[in-house]
Amino acid sequence: MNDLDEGAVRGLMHAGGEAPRSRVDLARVVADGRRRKARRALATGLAAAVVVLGLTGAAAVALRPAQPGAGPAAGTSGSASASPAQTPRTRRFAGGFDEVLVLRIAPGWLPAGVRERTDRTMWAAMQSLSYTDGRDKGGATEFSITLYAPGHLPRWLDPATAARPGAGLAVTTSPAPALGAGDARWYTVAADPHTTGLLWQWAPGAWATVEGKAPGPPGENRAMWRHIAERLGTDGRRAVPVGLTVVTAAPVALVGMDRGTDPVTGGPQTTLVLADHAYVPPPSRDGPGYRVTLRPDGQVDQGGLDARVVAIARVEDWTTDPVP
Amino acid sequence: MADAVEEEFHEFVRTRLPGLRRAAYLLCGDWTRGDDIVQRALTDAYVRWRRIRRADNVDAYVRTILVHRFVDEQRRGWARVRLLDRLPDGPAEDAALQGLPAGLDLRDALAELPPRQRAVLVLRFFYDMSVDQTAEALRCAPGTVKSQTAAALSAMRRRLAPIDTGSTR
Repeated sequence: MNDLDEGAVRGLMHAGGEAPRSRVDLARVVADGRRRKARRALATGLAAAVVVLGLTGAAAVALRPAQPGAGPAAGTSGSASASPAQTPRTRRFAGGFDEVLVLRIAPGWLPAGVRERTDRTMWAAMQSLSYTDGRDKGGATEFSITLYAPGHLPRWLDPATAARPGAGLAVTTSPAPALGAGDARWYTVAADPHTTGLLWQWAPGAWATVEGKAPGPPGENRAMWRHIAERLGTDGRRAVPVGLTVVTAAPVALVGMDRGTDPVTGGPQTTLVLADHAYVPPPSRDGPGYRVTLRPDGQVDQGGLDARVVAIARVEDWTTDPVP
Repeated sequence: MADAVEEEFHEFVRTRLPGLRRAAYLLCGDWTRGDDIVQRALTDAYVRWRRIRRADNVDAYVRTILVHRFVDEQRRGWARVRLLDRLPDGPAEDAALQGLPAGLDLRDALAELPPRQRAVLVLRFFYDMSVDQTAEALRCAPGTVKSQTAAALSAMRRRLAPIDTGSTR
């Protein structure tokens, strides 16, 4: 191919067969675009409000009588400063992934036939997506991809939780070829030897796992986990909005969201977890933090939090910033 | 967005999507990732559509967004993932290369180029954009486009050179 010229490159670029089915979702393009425009409008409005408040404050200072201790000038009473209720609150942040409701996980390759489960686990400390090919349990391919925020460990690696009696977190590990930012390990869950996984660092000090079951032989499954891991994007920006907002004066931040199924009705249910630190054990229902749950029938369980919780009916209006 | 303007955007996507997908695939060498890039680029385009639709060349505007999305993604995260060994891609990806002479794998050859060089080749030879148009899209000098094109073609010539099997001896 030493005669490769511009015409040949042009031909090569236009050559090829049918493209696979498109994964581009126009409805999501529009929904995400609308949300971004709304956020931008809100930010512009807030900026304008801040300018107006600043000018008002400056004018009030300029008009204030010169004598110390003198009262406010006539006509400016109550307008020189905003009341605490009007003061814009700074965004609270508990560490880990921020924003919590933005998926970093962006798979670059998945086994044929699997689909993403609608259940979501997104936490400041970690986020996870599950996949299934929908077959019966025995022959199913089911796995999850989990990304841990820098500084947070899988529970079975964390000495604080792994050694807890009855935790059921024991795994056996063996070295795997290096991947990403450092060493990688194969592992098998002791309580369920059919569940295997690959652990690696997607960035220095930041861990990720691909874990699950598949009907193939162990070597084949390992190759599959590895292929998923190699092609995994970790800088996705997929927004996962929720249908409720929580306004509270409590010194907490959003640290987690669970979207699952109400065990009683089978309908979709969303739980927001609010706490003052990033790490809240995801599977724990009684761990630290407040849990605000929106049930399928629209009822809200505030989990003991003093807050004003508002359900958002229209899906287009759902938000990724539910604790403003 | 008013209905007519929104419909215009939908129509644009409907007619241009195959080309955008193919371009993204050529840029990143993977249909799935390519679709993600297109998804994000179209979201960017939607947000700015009122301005874009008044541009002289709407297609060039959106292609520019697409290429910048790709370059930006390379810079931010994907480059951190080191590919050590590769399993064959699914049949859909292989099908995309049907019709090429045996031994020629454009995707691999492109994959070995730096992202900016890949972007130059896609804009120049997939979209048939001129040197000046490509320079404007990539916000660089025309001379840079020319030198990047020459360097990329040279690298591809080396990569796509047939393996000497000894049959000519």
